[in-house]
Amino acid sequence: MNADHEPNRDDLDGRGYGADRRFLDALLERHFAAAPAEDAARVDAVLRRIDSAGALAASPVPARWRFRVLRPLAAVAAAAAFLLAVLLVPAPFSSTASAAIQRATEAMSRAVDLQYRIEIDTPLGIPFRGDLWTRGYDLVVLRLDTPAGEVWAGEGREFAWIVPPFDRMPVRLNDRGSLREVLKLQEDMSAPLFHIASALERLGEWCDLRFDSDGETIEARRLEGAPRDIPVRARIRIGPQGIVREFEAEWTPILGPRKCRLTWIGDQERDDSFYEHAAHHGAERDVVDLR
Amino acid sequence: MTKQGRPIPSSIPREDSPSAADRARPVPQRSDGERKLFEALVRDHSELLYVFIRSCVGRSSLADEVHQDTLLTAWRRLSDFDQSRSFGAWLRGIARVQIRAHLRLRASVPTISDELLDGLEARFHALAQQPGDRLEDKLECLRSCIAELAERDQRALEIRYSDGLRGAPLAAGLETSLENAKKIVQRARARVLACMKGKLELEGS
Repeated sequence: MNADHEPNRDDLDGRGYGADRRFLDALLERHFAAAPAEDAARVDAVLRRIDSAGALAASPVPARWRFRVLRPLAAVAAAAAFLLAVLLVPAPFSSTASAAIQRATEAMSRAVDLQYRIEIDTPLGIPFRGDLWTRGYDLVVLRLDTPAGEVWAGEGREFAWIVPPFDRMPVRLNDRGSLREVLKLQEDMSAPLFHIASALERLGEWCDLRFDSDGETIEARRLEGAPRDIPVRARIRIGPQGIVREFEAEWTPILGPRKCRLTWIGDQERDDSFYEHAAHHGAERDVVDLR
Repeated sequence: MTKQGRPIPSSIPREDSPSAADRARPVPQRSDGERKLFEALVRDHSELLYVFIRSCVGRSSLADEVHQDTLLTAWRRLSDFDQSRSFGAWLRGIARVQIRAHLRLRASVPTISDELLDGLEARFHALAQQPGDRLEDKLECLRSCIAELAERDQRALEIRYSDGLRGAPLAAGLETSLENAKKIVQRARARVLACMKGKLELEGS
């Protein structure tokens, strides 16, 4: 096999080599970056869901009898609750924190362009400030002010990419889904920085969620055994249409706490090309495909 | 090692059972015995299943979702499972449906062909036939293939896959040029692949 002329992975899907490479990459990732505890935690989470559903369903009182006794009371209570809901609660409001997160996930997964101010506080005290644009689950553009200058990075329809601050450094392209690798960030910084809809989904799965005393902000606390990219705590404020207005997350890696804060700026429509690298550097810039 | 023929899962859900419908279905109650058996089987097969899903979808957050939905669907459909067949292959069959459903939901993520999924299934089936109950045991063949590499090639794979480094940082770690670092990784990968194909008795080795 002549590895020097290794063909592009996507060109070869379905012709043997694509499967070979994906198979080998997955095994090598598992071998060199094994985290058996994460697998146990994944299984535990599924079993918790199965058990909690079973516990809810199980009851010492036969369901039919229970229903017969409670039906008149339930009817009155339901009517009262409905009346209160109509009078007091705005229509799109979700009654539980989990429901609110679910509704926000749905809203954030729609193909709408959203812009956020992003602030990252690192353990070494070096703050990063910039802007984040997202569209749905997967399209992301990030602009960060760094001591070396402005860095653009993102994930478009084909590539994850980064435009370094120096013109002499080439633009780097990589596989979609590898934005974290492109930015050389640790696993624990992946979730809320970029893909807000995915991050909300994962918070819903791996965190205890509850409304803060203000009744608007949701507080999320990581459950034991959750993967490393789940923040220790997060605060999310959601607007009336389910759009995330503020999202603050905190991790505690070895070097100390690290925070990321997103503040909603607006929803100005962007062209598709905005999410590709070419929109963020000059035509003469060198581009290197690292896939 | 004797190898069995490729097991055909008795009731792999097909495209007419999208994951949305499965998700909407309540999680059923089952007996304690079924619950314990399910947990034991899942703990043995979960990690191999996860690596299979990673090979199909790549991204870790999406892989987590597919993995979870696959196991919940397996629990819902446990009564369909034929115990004379391979549980791992049955799970991978469910995962294929879930992968398609999740990729359809995310229109911007490239879909995956049946041919490619078949190719991956064949490779993971061969890996599943390796001795041992857990993935860690089955990866002994991979460890021995890596051990056959030169020290620098092993280091290259470690930097590439353990630290997730590519390009210039990888070259810096190997103290060589960018182009050379890329070639070292490609050659090391090609050697491991050829070795693995021989050990797993895969066609085209």
